[in-house]
Amino acid sequence: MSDIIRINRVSKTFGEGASMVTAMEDVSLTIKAGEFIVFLGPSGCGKSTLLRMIAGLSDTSRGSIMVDGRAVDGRDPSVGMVFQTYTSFPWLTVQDNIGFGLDLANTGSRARTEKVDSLLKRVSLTRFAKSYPSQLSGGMQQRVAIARALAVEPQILLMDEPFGALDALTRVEMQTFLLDLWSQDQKTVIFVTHDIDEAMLLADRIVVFSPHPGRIAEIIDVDIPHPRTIDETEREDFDRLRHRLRRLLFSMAKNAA
Amino acid sequence: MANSVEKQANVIGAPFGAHSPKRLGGADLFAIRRPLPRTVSVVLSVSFFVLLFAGWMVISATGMVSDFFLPSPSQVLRSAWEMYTEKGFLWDIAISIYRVFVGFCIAASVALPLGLMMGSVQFFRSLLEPCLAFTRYMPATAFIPLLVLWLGIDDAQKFSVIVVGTFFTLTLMVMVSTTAVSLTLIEAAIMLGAKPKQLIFKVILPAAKPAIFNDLRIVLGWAWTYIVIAEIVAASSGVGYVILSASRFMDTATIFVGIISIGIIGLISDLLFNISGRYLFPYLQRTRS
Ligand SMILES: Nc1ncnc2c1ncn2[C@@H]1O[C@H](COP(=O)(O)OP(=O)(O)O)[C@@H](O)[C@H]1O
Ligand SMILES: [Mg+2]
Repeated sequence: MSDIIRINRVSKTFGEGASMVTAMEDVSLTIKAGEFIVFLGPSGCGKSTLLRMIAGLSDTSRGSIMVDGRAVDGRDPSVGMVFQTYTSFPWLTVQDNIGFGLDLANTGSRARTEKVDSLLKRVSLTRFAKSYPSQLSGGMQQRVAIARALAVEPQILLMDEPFGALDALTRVEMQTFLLDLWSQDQKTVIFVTHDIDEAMLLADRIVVFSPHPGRIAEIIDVDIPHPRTIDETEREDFDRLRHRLRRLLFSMAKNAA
Repeated sequence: MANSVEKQANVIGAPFGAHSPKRLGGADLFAIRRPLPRTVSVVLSVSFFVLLFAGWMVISATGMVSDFFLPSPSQVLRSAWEMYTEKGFLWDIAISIYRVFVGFCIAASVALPLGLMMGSVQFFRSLLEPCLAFTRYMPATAFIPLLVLWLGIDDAQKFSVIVVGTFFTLTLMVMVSTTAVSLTLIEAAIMLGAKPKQLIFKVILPAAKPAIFNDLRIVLGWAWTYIVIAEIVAASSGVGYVILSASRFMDTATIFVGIISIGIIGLISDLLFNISGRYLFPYLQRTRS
C-alpha cells in the first residue's frame, strides 16, 4: 500500500517568550492508505495538536506534513474530521446536517438526495432524517457527525476522541459501528483516544504518545485480524497487549509526577 | 449540547426547566432551579399585579397620599377612557411606535452587519471596538440638545436620538453574541469545505441568530426610554409630548396612563418577540423523541 500521510520531524510550540509551551517535539510518522491508526496517550500529550496540524487547522512550528503527496496548507478536500464535542449544526435537521458539505459545493439536488439518503441508511438514522440534533442521543449525534464527514468523500478520516463523551455501552456500539463502516470502504482513519481497550479494538497500529513535550513513545502493531468484535478483547493476546500498554501509560504518569 | 440548547432556550423566554415536580410542599415553592407547574407560575405572576393594584387602591382610599401626587385607580381609568376614546391618545401612541420602529430599524440595520463582522473577523474588532466602547459611555440624552440644533424638532431628530441611544451598545452586543459561537462548530464547517463567506452566512450567523434576536429584544426596550425623553424635550405629538403637556396642567392621572401604556406596549413587544422566536427557532424547543 502507498503512503498517504508523511509526518516529517514536526514540532509545535504555542505562545512566545517566557510563556512558550512546546506541545510536540520532533514527531515523524508515515501512514499507509487504508490503515486504521490510533493515537493513544494521556491527555495533554499533543494528540489533538497533531491531528489539527494534519487537518490543516493549525500550522506546524517546524517540520512538514504531506497528505496524499501535497504539503498541508489549510483544509484539504481529502481530509474529513469528527470532533469530540457534538458539532452538529443545531438549526439544521439531521438530513441537512449530512448534506451540509454537499450544499457548500452546490451539489445538484438529485445527487445530494441520493447521497444523503444512502448515508442516512448507513448510519441507521433514516427515521430521524427530519429531527433536529437536540432531539438525538449522544451516539446518534456522533453518527450524524460521521455521516456528515463522509458525505464529501474524504480519503482520510480524522477522529478526535469522538466517543469520549458517550456512556460505556453506547461507546462499544459505536466502536463496532465504526469498524463495520471502515471494513466497507477502507478509508485511512486516525483515531485519537486515551482508552486502551478502544485503541486495541480498533487499531492496525497504535501510536503511543508521551507528554511534556509530546513525543512518540512507541508504535505497536496490533496483529489481531479484522473483523474484530468486542468478544475478542477477552482473548489472551489482547490481555498481553493491554498489560503492555498499561505499563507504558503508567510509567509516563510516574515520570510526570 | 443539551445544556447549551437549554441556555439558548432560556434566552428566548422559555421557562426555567423542562419537567414539573411531582409534589408541591411549601419548601418546593422556593427550591433552587426547580421549575414550577405552569398554573402555579401564572397564578404567581397575576397575583403580584393584583397585589400592586390592591396596594395602590388602599393607599388612595385611605387618603394617605393626596391624589394630586398619586391619583386613584378610578381616576386613572377614567382618564385612560377619555384619552383613548376622545383625545386621540392612540394616535400619539402610533406616532411614538412609528418613531421607535424607524429609529430602531436604522440602528439595527447597521449594527447587525457591523457586529457580525466584528465578532467574526479580528481586523474589524480591533479597528472599531475601542471607539464603539468609548462612544457607548457617552449618554445619549446628552446628545439631545445637539441633535435638536442639527436636525430641528422633526421626526429626524427623534430617529437620531434612538439611533444614538441604541446603535453602539447593540453593535457590541451583537459582536459578543457572534463571538460566542463555538470555534469547533466553525472548524467543523471548515473541514466540510466552507469558505470564509460561507462560514459567516451559513454557520456563524445562523448559530448566533437566537442570541442576536434576544439582543434586539432587550435593546428595543431601551428605545422606548429614549423616544419618551426625545418627545419630552421637543415635540408636538407622541406619548412623551402627552406626558409633558399633562405635567403642565398637573394632570397626574394622564401621566400615569402614559407611563402604564408604555409598559403595556413593552409587554406586547416582548410577547411578539417570544412568539416569533418560537416560530423562527423551532429547534430550540427541547422535545426529545
Ligand atoms: N491553542 C493552544 N494554546 C496554548 N497551548 C495549547 C493550545 N492547544 C494545546 N495547547 C497545549 O499543548 C499541549 C497538548 O495539547 P493537546 O494536543 O490538546 O493534548 P491532547 O489532545 O493529547 O490531550 C497541552 O499542554 C496544551 O495545554
Ligand atoms: Mg485532545
